[in-house]
Amino acid sequence: MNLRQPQASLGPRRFSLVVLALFAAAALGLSACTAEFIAQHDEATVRAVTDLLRKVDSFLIKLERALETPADADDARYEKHVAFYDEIRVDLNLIRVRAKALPRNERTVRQIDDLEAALKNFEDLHRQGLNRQVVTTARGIISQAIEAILKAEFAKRRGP
Amino acid sequence: MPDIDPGSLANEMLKAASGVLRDRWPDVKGYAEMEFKKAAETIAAIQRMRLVGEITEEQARLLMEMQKHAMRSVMTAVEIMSVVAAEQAINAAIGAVRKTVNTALGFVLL
Repeated sequence: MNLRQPQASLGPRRFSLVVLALFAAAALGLSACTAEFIAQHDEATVRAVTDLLRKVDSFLIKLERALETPADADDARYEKHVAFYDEIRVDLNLIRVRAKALPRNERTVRQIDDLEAALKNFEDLHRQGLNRQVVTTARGIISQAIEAILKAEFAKRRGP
Repeated sequence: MPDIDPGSLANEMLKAASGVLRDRWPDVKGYAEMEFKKAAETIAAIQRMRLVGEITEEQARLLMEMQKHAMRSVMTAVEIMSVVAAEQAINAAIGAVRKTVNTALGFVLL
């Protein structure tokens, strides 16, 4: 702490400011002289979520293509893609573990939980049998959920 | 079954969200408008596909569940953006009085 010689007296305006600042510091639990209500931007999360978006989107595009022609529809069967869902589950778990380890990051963890739930819904759809319209609609929804995580992560960047 | 109008649906969502977020609404309005519009169009598309028999009731239900989770993720993003904006406003206010307060106290508080 940088101690200096206290001034002999405070004017009423300065006194009010000091009281206000003391209250603010106490209420906000300021330790580094700035308030921080939410986790800092995490570039590793951005990279992992972007990779996940690429992986899921490529998978859905392949399914759409396979479902375009009846001859290829067999390639879209759920049984042929179980490994993909396992892989995605591992990726999501890694993202969640990292997000949970960061302080004040509960909201991002909630977003990851929602993305996982949406992907689980899609896996159920796949298990029951897909058509092209379902995949196209689901692709838009999954992109929206992933983009929301990225949007929030970029919002955490605090500029000077 | 009446058709869902995506425009009205998006407006209803916007009205509800802007009422809750009030002061922070200008910070998130652009993003929220765009995402609510997307969600409303998806919901209308699911209803259309169900009406013409392109998807089953169970498929419609699962797609709606997916959309619900995506919207929750969007709303959480909006919440995060609002909190960051509030944090920046508080830090700007503290920054504005930092010199005066520290000088008045004679030590570095802020």
